[in-house]
Amino acid sequence: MFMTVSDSTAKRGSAWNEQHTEQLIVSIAGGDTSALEELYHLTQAPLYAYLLSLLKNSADAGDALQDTYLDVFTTAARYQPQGHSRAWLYAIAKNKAMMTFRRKKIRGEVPEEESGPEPWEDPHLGREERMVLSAALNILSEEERQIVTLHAVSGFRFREVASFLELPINTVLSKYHRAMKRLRRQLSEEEGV
Amino acid sequence: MNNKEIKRLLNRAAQSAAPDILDSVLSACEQQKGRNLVMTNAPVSESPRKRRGIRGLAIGLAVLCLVLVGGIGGFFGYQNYYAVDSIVAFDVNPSIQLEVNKEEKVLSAEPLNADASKILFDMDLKGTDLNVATNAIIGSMLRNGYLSDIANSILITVENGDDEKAAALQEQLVSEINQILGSNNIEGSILSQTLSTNNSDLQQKAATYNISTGKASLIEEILDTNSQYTFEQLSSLSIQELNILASAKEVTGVSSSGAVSTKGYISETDARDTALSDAGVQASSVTVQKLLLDWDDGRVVYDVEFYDREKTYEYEIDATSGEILTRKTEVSPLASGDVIGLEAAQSAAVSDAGVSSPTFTKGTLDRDNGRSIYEIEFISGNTKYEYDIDALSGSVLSRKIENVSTSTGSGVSGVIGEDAARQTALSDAGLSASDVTFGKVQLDNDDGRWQYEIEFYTSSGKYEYDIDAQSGSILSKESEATHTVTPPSSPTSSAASAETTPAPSQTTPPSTSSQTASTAPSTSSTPSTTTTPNTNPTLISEQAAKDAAASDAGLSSSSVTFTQVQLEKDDGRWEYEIDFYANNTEYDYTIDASTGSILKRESEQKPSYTNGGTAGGGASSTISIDQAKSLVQAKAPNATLVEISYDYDDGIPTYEGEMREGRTEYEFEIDARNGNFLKWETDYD
Repeated sequence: MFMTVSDSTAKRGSAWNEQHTEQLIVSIAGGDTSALEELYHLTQAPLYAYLLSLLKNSADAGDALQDTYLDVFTTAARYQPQGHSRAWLYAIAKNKAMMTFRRKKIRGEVPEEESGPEPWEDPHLGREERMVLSAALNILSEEERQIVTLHAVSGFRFREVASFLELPINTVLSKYHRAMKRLRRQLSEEEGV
Repeated sequence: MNNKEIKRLLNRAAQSAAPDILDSVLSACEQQKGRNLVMTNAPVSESPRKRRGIRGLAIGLAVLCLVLVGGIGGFFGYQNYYAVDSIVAFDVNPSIQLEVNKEEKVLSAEPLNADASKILFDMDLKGTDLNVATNAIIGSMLRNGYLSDIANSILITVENGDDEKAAALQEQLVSEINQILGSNNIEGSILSQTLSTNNSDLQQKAATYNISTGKASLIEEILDTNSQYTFEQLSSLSIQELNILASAKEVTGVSSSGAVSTKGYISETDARDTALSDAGVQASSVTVQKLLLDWDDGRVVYDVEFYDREKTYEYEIDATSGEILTRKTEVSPLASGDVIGLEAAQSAAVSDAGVSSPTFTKGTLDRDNGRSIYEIEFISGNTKYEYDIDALSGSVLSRKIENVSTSTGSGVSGVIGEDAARQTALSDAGLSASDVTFGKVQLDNDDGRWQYEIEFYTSSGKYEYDIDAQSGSILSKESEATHTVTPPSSPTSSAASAETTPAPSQTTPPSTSSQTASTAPSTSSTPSTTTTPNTNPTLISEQAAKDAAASDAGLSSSSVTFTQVQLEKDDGRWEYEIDFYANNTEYDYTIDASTGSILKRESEQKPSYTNGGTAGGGASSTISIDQAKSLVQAKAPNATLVEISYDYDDGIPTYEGEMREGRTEYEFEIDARNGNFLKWETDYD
């Protein structure tokens, strides 16, 4: 089962069917929770990865993920179908992550130093998955994590990443390649051990 | 491990780690519906049951949204009262944001940090008049010691869609706060600004760092004049500290009334005397060029700079303790010969500008790259001029002309478009698109005015333009003339140019060979140049950067395969990112595009391809990135190359990338050993 999932997503993250997603959002706006369920199944893993790349904390990312879908549900009616459903969804998620930062700062907590298990200590992860997650969260900057996750996991094209993060395409490209190179290096070293 | 495997593992990790929260999402949605229903007073009393009836209820919700948007019937007055007209923010260190309606009644008061929570602790400002709220907030800041005769800075920001209204409210608040502070015997230093409401960029930054949009804007203004800090560093400073920094860097984007209090610090005279006695020179024998309060690396400091005939002395003195933090000496600008004098330099600049009665705002003598330069700035009418004048010959080395008119633009509607802006800049420079490489084209809001910031460069120089996004007129332009004395044309001459600045700084070892320092100076800044932001040298060519990297690796450009050559700006500095491959080793270089010096080098031994099952492939047998580019370009002649990169895929060297033509997108993968296409995919948006 793992293989079928990973095979279909390995190449470019999950394929995005814009038309279908927009139909789902319209249905959600009409209160159709089965459409929300479907959207959830289509997007939950990459969205979680993106939130984790921002928040570096499993519990926070889980909470933000839930808030994201709740927001999708309450604001779907305002969505204007113009072929940007994925950017819309990720913008909601990003906003939720920002709010988590903000709440924590007001409470005087430093987000990254919070106790609790590290994301890569999740018992559901295999050895290699643990390695890659730990490398990505530890050696990449927040911006690099966003770029890598959006492209490699969420399947954004580079120019979509650039417009979503409001960065020049060249910056996105070179940061992506540098980040992947650093990951490769780190992982090859660990493999060698 | 290769890129594909990493992608696959990242995707798998996401699948495995993502929590299953569907049930709680659905039940939260149910609850949400219940809440919305109560608000709508819809005639549904029973609690909504799962699935059944939900659709109807949500349609009710959607209808309600429409009703609210349309503003129909009895909602009207109610809505009007609660419509936010302005957002007013007070930043000291506490940051407080008020939402205010048209009648200047406070709709909400939000503390943006922990200090602000203290200030607002037991205040209920909702429904009060803005001036009452202002009084209460400033009063509380005074009582709590956030505002005092030592820390007297406050930032006021007004956001309103109507510029005139925003400006009026800004003026009113400044005068009110001046009055309140005055009645407490404090001379306030009030920074104030208006922001247009269309600034999502700024809002996002503000949210990230948990500060007000106003403070974010002030920080951007400071960063615009000085890129030695990061946004993050500055976000943690108080307004008092930012105010010191803003006045030290002559930030112009905010209005300011009253000077920053220096009562908490040693006096300017004390700072100057400390430096003079440390240098062992008399006040009478030096020219003091700089003496100002600044903020650096977490503390308030005095920057002191003076020169005699032999040396220039630069000191940084802790403004609180009087301790000397750094001292630096350089060759004096007077050392290379007799200078023409400030007045002659000023008149050279003024006659070049062709203006009659300018107001001078800066006139300093500095030494840059072995050359003595007067930096002259003046304003005439609505135009600001910045000149670099050769201190020996009086010739103009660079000029920057900027429109500083205070009129503010309105919205972002009706912009001329990126292409038109580019064209305007190009034709002003007398160049065509094929002559130049664009570094940046960006629509930005500056002082409430939308403008395109355009940068491009040719092999002989760099151009920066600000174009009014609505009228298309040129607001400012800057071009860097090619230096005739020390052209940094080849990487080896960079070592020479470092040599011509005989700096006592420890970062530059005496350079006897053409090789720059053997330790990669990845963190060191440019060796001991004075702060002269307007004398960027010409960028070195792509080929020169390639040669520098290859020769550093003990190779020649012709014997390696370049996989990436990219010019980009990092921390305000132009850099070439150069990746290449030779003898089973991958090299990554970062080259300073101005000097040609090597900022970073990395290399990695790669396994040979033979483990992928293809015998006989060597580095020399791969095609170059340019050949790969022509192959894909031949397949889709009208498409634009978006991305191309070199990779090992399953032990095979490949070039992968994307091209685009209108709404069509191509993805390709080429076997780098023989140029065969492994993938060619067409996709439509």
